[in-house]
Amino acid sequence: MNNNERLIIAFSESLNINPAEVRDELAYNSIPQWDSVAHMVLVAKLEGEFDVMLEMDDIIDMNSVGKSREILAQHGVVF
Amino acid sequence: MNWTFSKYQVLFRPVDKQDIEQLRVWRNRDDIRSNMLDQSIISEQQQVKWYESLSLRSDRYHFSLVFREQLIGYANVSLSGDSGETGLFIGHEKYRGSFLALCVGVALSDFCFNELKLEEIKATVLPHNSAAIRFNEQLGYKTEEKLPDRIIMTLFYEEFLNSRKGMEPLLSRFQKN
Repeated sequence: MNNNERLIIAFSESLNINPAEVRDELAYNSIPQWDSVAHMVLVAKLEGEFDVMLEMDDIIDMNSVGKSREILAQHGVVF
Repeated sequence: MNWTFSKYQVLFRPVDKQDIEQLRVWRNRDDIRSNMLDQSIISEQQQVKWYESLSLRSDRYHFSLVFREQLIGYANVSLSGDSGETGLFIGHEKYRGSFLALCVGVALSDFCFNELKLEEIKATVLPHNSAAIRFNEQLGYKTEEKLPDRIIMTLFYEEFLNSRKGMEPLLSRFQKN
């Protein structure tokens, strides 16, 4: 499984949505499933999955799937 | 009334005259104004008049929200006995729709319950503003009344504590060490 697939599964499991719904444009708070509590679950999931520690700025900036990929890339995750 | 406090690295301070033009520009933006009860465009003159009236009311708190020394938005609390009504908007593009907005909502609710000792907080939301309804629900608000042109939501301390508890692991990262 490549990192992109792992990212999609992390989102899908944290937000409890179908993997097909995990697209770059999907934004925080744009669907009921991606609320603040799910955001918390997502942060923990991404940190565990990719072995990174997200900073406060990352958590604020992580407002879409695409942006999350960018942030993980800044932490050395290769997509 | 004047009050300054800081939580989750967001400074809530009295509105300064230097803030009011930026607040007016944000307030007049379509995406913000369209979610207000009063959707009229505010003129510079009206804004100055509003600013000059702030010190006259002892039952209102008006805050400029500052994060990392940048103005990011506005919040208020209007008192009515043991009840209060809150309003807020994040105008700064970088922080609109971000987790920081929720930090502001939690901090403002905390201020209402723990400093002002209010028994309940109310929020009036336009029916089309599903983002604000969801935002309030995340804080623990429940819909009290659905009117054709507005929804009245109420937050009690117990529900707020339950909601905040669930968010604490992430919120704690926003506390300054």
